[in-house]
Amino acid sequence: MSEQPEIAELLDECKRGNPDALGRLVELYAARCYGYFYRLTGNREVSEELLSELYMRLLEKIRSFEGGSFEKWLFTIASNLFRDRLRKQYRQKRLLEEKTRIAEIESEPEREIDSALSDRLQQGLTRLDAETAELIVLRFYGDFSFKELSEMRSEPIGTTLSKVHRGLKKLKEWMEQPDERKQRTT
Amino acid sequence: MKESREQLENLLRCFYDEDQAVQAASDMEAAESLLAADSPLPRPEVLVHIKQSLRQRAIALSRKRQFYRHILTAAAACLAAAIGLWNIHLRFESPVALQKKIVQDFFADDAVLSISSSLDDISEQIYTGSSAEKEDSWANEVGNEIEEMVLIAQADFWKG
Repeated sequence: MSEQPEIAELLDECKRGNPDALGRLVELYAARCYGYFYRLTGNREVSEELLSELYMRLLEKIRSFEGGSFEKWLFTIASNLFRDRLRKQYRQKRLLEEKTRIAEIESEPEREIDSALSDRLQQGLTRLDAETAELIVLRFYGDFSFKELSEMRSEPIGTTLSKVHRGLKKLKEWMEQPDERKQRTT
Repeated sequence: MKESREQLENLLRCFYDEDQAVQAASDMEAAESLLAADSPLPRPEVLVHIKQSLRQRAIALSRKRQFYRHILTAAAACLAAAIGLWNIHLRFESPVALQKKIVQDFFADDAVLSISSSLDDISEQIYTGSSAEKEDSWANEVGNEIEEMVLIAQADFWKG
């Protein structure tokens, strides 16, 4: 909450093109934005590339930011970037990579438990439809309320709520299922 | 900002009954805690690279803006000069127009006009004078002939 005046000052500095202020902005939001991209793409390199693109676009558009919620503005750009990417080239590639990755996971039984949890979470998100997965990830990494999410998606709040609830429920069910790989190793 | 548990339950109550709303809120919290348990982070070298790229891009953008500012300033100066010249043009007559006016003034001078009107009078007088003389001689000639014929006719009458 006390971050708001600091953010406003930081954004003013960024609008003036102060590189240190831009660096600070990277430190503040990179982890969340990276998490958002990673959870949607499941690919470290692509997520890093998208993160870099996001900051470049932010620099170009920062002068057009006229107040309001900076996080909402930032994640809207991130969401548009992700959608552009998905539309252009990523969908098929992701499916292919996912299949390859699943095959790799199955052939590596000695991986750490935490890593397995992360992989299962990632698989679960990939199994959800792209829109629901994005809403869940936006809610978590963007820290958005259902009202904000529904405004960003231009849909009734009930629709957003229902999508997220159904998606999270499915995700929880999949995560609670016994790990087949672990069972195979024991 | 995400809703608190209480706010979420209240929101869910708009769409579910009491028990379902509480259950849905619990489901959602549990699933979100799974996401919270494992949050991937970008590699530090990537962040350093992003910061460097941003710095370079910010400098490039700043130069670009400065360049456009210079162009705009130059364009504004050109416009101001053009407006100034146009004003001068409107306020002072061009040399050609000025020359034309001098010539017109010279020929419209009273002296020239009076000479011109005198010449007109003279030519009119010459014309009207000669024609009057012509008309006069013709009338005299006719008059003489008539008088002569009258005299001949009188003499013939008296002769019988």
